[in-house]
Amino acid sequence: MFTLKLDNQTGDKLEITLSGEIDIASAPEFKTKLYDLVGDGKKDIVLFCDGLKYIDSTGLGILVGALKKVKLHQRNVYIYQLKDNIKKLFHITGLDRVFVLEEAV
Amino acid sequence: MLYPNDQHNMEIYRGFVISDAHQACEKVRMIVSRIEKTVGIDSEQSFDVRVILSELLQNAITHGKTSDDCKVYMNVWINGKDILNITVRDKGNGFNACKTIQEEQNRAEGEIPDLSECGRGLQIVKSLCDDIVFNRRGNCITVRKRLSYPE
Repeated sequence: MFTLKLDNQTGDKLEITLSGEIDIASAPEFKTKLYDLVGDGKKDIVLFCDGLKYIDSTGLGILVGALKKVKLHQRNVYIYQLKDNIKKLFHITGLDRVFVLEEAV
Repeated sequence: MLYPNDQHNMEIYRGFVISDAHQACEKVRMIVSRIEKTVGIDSEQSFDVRVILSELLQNAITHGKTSDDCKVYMNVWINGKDILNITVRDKGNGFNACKTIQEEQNRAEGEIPDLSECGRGLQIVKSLCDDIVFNRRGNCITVRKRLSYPE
């Protein structure tokens, strides 16, 4: 299972902590909760992923969906503190060139 | 030759997986746990194996949906002490696997960032495995991955 927690919300930015595991069983719930937070996509999304232990192509696709929403409004998705094994999946799929990946907060 | 023979096979799992997301995830976790107990791989390899199994099952479930019988056959074994083998077969009509992998690869490496929301699974599997083979129909895949053990 995963947890998705809205930490902070300002006029132009949403800060969200994502932890746990996102697999094909939990992906539908993750999609609903994330897209609810993203809303119409008019804010930057900052995802803190220090506690994210597992994600696969389904979860990555949902993150891309969120990115597409914010890109419509010239916003972006910033992803912090990905574990190395998950970062490897971003690299394999070329998504490390699509999202803004940051090491430290 | 990377895989010289099939002697000393250790069966990890052989059977059918029902095409339900929750049951498929449980099965994947169970298989990864068996591999950990059987050969003692580290957490990084456990992660990779879990991703490989999940992507293969998702792929089979997606492409096997044309059949009334949605069960997916899976065989997981280790041979030569450190070669993990995974075969997944569905009852669908198959697809052009080589073309699909090439398309996924091209999208990942292309100059224009790819914003598709699906179609990355096989590319991930190919990257994490040492060998990947499809049958001619495109509904059965076998992958091999050399495992390394903590010293």
